[in-house]
Amino acid sequence: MSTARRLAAALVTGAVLLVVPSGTTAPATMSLVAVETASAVDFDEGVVWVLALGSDSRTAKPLEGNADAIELIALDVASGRAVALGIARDSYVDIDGHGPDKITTALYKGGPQLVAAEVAELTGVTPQYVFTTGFAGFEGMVDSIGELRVHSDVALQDSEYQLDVHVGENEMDGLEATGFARSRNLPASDFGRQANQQRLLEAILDSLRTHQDEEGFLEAGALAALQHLDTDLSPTELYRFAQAVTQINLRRTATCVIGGTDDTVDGAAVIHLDEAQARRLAADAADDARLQHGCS
Amino acid sequence: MMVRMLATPRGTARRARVGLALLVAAALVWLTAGAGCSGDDPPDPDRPETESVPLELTLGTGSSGLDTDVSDRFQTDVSDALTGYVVSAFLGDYPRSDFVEALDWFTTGGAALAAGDLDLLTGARFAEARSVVARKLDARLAPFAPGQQPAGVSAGIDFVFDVVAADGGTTEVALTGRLVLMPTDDGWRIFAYHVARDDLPAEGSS
Repeated sequence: MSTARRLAAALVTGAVLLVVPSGTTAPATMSLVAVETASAVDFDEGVVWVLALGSDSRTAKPLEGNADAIELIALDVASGRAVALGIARDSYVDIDGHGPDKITTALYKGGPQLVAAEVAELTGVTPQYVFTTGFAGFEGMVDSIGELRVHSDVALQDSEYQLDVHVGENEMDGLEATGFARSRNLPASDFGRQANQQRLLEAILDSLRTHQDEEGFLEAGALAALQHLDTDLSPTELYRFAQAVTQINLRRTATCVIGGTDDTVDGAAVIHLDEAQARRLAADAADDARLQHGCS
Repeated sequence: MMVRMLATPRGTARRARVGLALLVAAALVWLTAGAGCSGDDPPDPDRPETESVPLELTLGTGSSGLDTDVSDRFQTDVSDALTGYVVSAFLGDYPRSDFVEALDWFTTGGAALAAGDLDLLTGARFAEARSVVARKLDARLAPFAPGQQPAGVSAGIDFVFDVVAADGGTTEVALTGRLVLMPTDDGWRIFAYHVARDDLPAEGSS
């Protein structure tokens, strides 16, 4: 209504300007007033750290699997900024109470809390929120918000996930998005996969922001999240979190994959994560969810 | 209907406001659920122009699975909050200066944010007006209610007010967008807002 009124006012004003001879004072029968907008969500103040875990469990119980995707995310709702730091699943760490192993195994050994503790050891940041989902859960959540527009640097095919990705923008449903998140058929293998997982996070954010004003959209998404996520948040807290995420501006986000060196331990491929970089990036993002010095 | 704010001692102001809001809600709110009710109904020709229209709620996406008693309670609770907000933010006796009382209908953190947008979220800009009348108060609710437990709601609002200035000029004020509410210990409160405000001098006003 407002837009229509403004358009009509603009057209009439234009017509008045055309028909009123120069030097004649037009009657002040209307004025144009800009429509003002305001948007805010009451959420935790300052930077909030979220650990998003993707389990490789194929059952309805994501905690029975390994942490296939590990993303540490800094959110600053007030400024609309976010930083996602990808941690390689094969990062070789001394798991508290279990000894040296890949960080991915910490999920089934001690649940999301143990993964969070290991991430805190690596980065110096203790996440306030931890969300875990499995294959089916991720697929269901993506399907609940509609197709994602995802950028890919490489072409990928995988018949198991009906995946036929070309270089550039792609539209993906839940199954395809799951395949894209899992695919290791990439030039940089694990590191490349983490970059793809971060592109999916950006695509999900883009979809949430695009559709947030559609009636019932966020409510349906929150229901799907409640159904598919392992979280100890109450439904109201989860709903509030979902509303808060829509305040993040995609143009104010940054993603980094923390580097590392390949190695072999007892015949298994592992990664020695660049802990100095991990701590540096986490410290950089801790104040304002912004990376002053890029990913270096 | 003229809606008047009661002058109360500071200590009892909040209780009085809540009581007033509930009274106003009872008198003002016209609860309508499901199909067959909309904001497109023609204006009541018998309603004097000095009376505000009632708040009109409709249930939208996500509400079809709610049990009747849950739905009724939910609508009553949310309408209390929305009515309380509208009354304290825009209606009442003018001239007035107590617009900050509208923040009572927000969560604590939400009130802190809304305080920075008070000019947009209330009638503070026309504090010296002669009168303000609600011409349209439509709210369409999209509840988030897992397991029949309402845990949040997005209210798509379409509010229009007629403001008569001290000099007799009139302005039509529209507030549209979404108010997002959650249950708290004090009842349902607004914790997020995504709104647009459009103030246009009415035809014939200078």
